[in-house]
Amino acid sequence: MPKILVVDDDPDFVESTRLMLEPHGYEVISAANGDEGLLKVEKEKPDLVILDVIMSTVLDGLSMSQQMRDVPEYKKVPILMVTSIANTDYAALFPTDEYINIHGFLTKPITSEQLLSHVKKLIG
Amino acid sequence: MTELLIVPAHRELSERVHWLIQLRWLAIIGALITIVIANALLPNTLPLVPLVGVTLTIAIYNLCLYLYANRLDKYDFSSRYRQSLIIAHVQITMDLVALTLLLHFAGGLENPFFFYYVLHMITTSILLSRRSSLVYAGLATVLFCGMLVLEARGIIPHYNLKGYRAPSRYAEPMHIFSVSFALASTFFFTAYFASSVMSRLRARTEDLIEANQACELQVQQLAELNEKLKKAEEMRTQFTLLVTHELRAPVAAIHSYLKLILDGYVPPEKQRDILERSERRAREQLDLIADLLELGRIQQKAATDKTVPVQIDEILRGICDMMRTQAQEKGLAFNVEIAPSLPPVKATPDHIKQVWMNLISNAIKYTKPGGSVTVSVSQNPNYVVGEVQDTGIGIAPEYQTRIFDEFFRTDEAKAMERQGTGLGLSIVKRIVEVYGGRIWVESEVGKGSKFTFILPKIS
Repeated sequence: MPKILVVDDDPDFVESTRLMLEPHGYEVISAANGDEGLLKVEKEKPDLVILDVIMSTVLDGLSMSQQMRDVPEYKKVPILMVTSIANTDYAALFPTDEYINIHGFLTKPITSEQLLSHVKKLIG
Repeated sequence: MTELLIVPAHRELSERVHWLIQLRWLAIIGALITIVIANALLPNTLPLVPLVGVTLTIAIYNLCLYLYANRLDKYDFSSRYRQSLIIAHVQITMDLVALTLLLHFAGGLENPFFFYYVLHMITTSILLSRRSSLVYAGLATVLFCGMLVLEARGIIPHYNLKGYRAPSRYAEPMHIFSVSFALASTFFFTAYFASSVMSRLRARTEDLIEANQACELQVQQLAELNEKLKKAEEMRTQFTLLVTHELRAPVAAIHSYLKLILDGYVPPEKQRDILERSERRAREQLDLIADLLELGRIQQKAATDKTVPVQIDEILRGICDMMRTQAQEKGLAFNVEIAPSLPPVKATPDHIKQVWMNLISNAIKYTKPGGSVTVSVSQNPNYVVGEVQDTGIGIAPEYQTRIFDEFFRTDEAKAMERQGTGLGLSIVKRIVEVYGGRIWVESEVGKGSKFTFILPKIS
């Protein structure tokens, strides 16, 4: 069963993501911040990471994706970036894919169709 | 002269001293050539030994001055300036004496080179102040007239330039007087005019330097201001970004939950839980909006509402019972210490109440049952001091300033209390600062925190 790690400090987002993915045969694990996320990446070896851009403390989504890129072993793990910031207005504030290891970008709220199509594209 | 202008003035004097030493080498060569030519034109007339002797003496003291002036460059500015001034005085005096001696040995009154005194007057005016220039005009007059009188009286010998001037002329009183008068007046006028021009030049240079420095200062201030504006703009952008994030998050969560229920992703037994979660998020959103509005209104409220003398202690007494009940419900000890006869502060009562409520409810929220919350009010010479101390989870040093930032909450705080807008302390800080006070926290992780705010007393 493919394993998906959801890193978000909002437990409700984790919960709704779990509700969307589990019926389709994915195992969902979660972490509340970037530090915990990196530990889980190491321990659980997920097939995909869904990452919130802004987590207010410790290590935010961007730095976590950068740290993952720096470790060869994790570099191959695809990252789906999720944010509640409207991408049209603020997309320019974020570094582009050249600099960060991101394979997909979604804006909250996410519909189950959107999420599933992205997940399927990335890990089948 | 201001402190800033001294440096250029110092540099100018020491540069001119060097320049004069260089010129003197040329003058020595010129004097030697003149002696040789004069000797060829008037053979067996000039006393060559004293003339060359005086010229060599000039060369020797110029060498000394040269060595000394070079050594001066290693000194700091103010002592270099003093030394340069001394050198300037010494060399002008020596030059005047040397010129007089050369004139004396080369015919005294008969020698037309006495006009060279005027050159010395000009260099003096360039180097020194007007007063000094006039003093040296006096010295030149005394030296020259003294020589003429002494020669006329026969006290010192007179060297007649045979074949050039009548041998008796040097002793004619009218001639001596007219030449002396004409020359002395020339000295003084030269000194006066040259130093006037110089002082105007100096003043203009100083003005220029001052204007330059003022410009530089302004450029610097503008750059700083620009930097500040840039930073403010960056912070504003950052803030907008955060607000957008914080405002969208609850709505996104509610939307996702509702959509999941509608799409049949939520099994019936889980639906109530999901609805409860949604309701909590909706409430959170309302709180957040209320806090955001509050945060934006503080300044305006402080400006428009009547600020009155407020007794911080009275307001604390007013909310004490409510807070104590909350604390006791959670199993916390609640202590209040109020110092007697506290002076009032200038604020609005609503704002002070908000400060107390926020700090005390935070203390209750982040302290585990069995702990204690202690609230106190006291005073120091200038401020009324409020303190809220707890035995709660504490704040790591790296977050002790960040907790006042909008939306910032530590992971420990979130773990302990899911609900919270992260705006409470921002509001408190803004209120305290709007009334001229300060707030800070001392804390140790696992041991507790102490928030202290001070507000200026009304005297």
